[in-house]
Amino acid sequence: MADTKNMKNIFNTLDALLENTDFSKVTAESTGFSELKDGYYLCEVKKAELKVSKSSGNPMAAFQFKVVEDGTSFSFDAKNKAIPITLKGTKNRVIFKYYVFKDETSVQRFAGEMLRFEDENGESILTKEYFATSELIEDALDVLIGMRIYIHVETTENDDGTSSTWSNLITWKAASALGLKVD
Amino acid sequence: MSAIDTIQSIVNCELVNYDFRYCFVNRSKIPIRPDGCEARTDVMSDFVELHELLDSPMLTRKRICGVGVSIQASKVCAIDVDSCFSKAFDATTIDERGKHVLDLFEDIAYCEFSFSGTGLRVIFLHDLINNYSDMYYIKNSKSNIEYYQPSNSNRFVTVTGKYLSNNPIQHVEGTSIALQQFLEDFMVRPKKTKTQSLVADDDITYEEALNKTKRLYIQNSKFQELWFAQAPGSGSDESERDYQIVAMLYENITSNDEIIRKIFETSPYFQSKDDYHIRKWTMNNYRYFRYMFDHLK
Repeated sequence: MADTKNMKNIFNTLDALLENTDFSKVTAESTGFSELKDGYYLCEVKKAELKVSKSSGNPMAAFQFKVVEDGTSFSFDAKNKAIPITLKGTKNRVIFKYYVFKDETSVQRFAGEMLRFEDENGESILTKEYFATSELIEDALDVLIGMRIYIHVETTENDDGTSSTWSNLITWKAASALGLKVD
Repeated sequence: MSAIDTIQSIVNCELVNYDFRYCFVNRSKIPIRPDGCEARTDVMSDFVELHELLDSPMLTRKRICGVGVSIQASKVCAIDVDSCFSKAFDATTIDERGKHVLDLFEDIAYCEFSFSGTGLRVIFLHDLINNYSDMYYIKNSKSNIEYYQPSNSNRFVTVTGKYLSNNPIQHVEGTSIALQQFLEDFMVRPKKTKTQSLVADDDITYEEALNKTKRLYIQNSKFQELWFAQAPGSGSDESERDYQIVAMLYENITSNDEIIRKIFETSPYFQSKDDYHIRKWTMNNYRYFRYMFDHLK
């Protein structure tokens, strides 16, 4: 009897929820997760591996970062002084980042970003020698697993009205200058 | 549909009476010249008069499936409303977007079905709108509507001759009003709040300028990357980077040269310069900086 009553309650609650749910924008690709807001996120590398891009067939380095603390965005007062705002509920979210190797520029860009992983003294963890061969790059990616770095998530508007979201790695020096917590 | 079908439709409507510059279009939607080579959209002479298509052996080739016109070479304006007819070539199935655009232009412009039959194309004459891209989208992906004007965008559009409104293509009173209404309704770019909130200010203290600079590198990844980068030294692009930073300070912070110079010198980028480049910066009373600054003015 109690079970029947409970089920009825669940059905009522679910029906009320369904009645007020807008399905117009739901597609098979919908994840249910909102995009991370623009801001700075302290992350840890959970996965870093060489893969093949499904869309282009080019090799790529695929990263999975886990946000280890709620992110930070900034508002500004009348004198443009930055006021940090905590982006609550963002801890433990995951950021995926892919570096597709299609030409020399993309490889240089990848190497430049990898050099932003620094130790506590602000020295790059990797050296340029790590980018000489694919085997060494694979080693480099292994070295980076568990490392922490700030990621700047930024949305820009394109000419056609769509928007693009970028995630850029930030050195400790830059993070410190931005007023972010650097231990 | 074939190129011959299209040309037959063209000669039976107002398109034939305007001096368009044409090309063939193949199945991959690539513009093709009468000699069979790909037409370069930035080369006006690759687009020809209609009779040159008729004389071309390409006319009957299987891979040629339509006819295009160059917006630039033909000096016309065009609007594309994608997928506004739910049934191809059936005007009764038009959606609200298409109906709104058709209502604005059907009495003053030539309007036809697109190649697929599910889109609407409007062709008319109008003067160029200066700084168009600053205010309006060329393609608004949210509403699937495009506007082309004969500037340097190097566009071509396929034409069908399957008209919905067969007005002559000529300067008509009322086009400006219809176009303005169309642009306001469908193509206005949203204001960019982030960048607009940072406007260069002459009347600013050094401390305020420092705050604005910090705001700029918090919000703008490109500036942040330049600001915190290691100066690369001789044989690279250090001068270019100097110029980019100074230009962004000039555009976003202040036009006061002394403040720009002092702020630049606080950057981690400047502080990583080698002795040679520091000397280059300071020598002859900052002549190098003043040269860049004069360029910006």
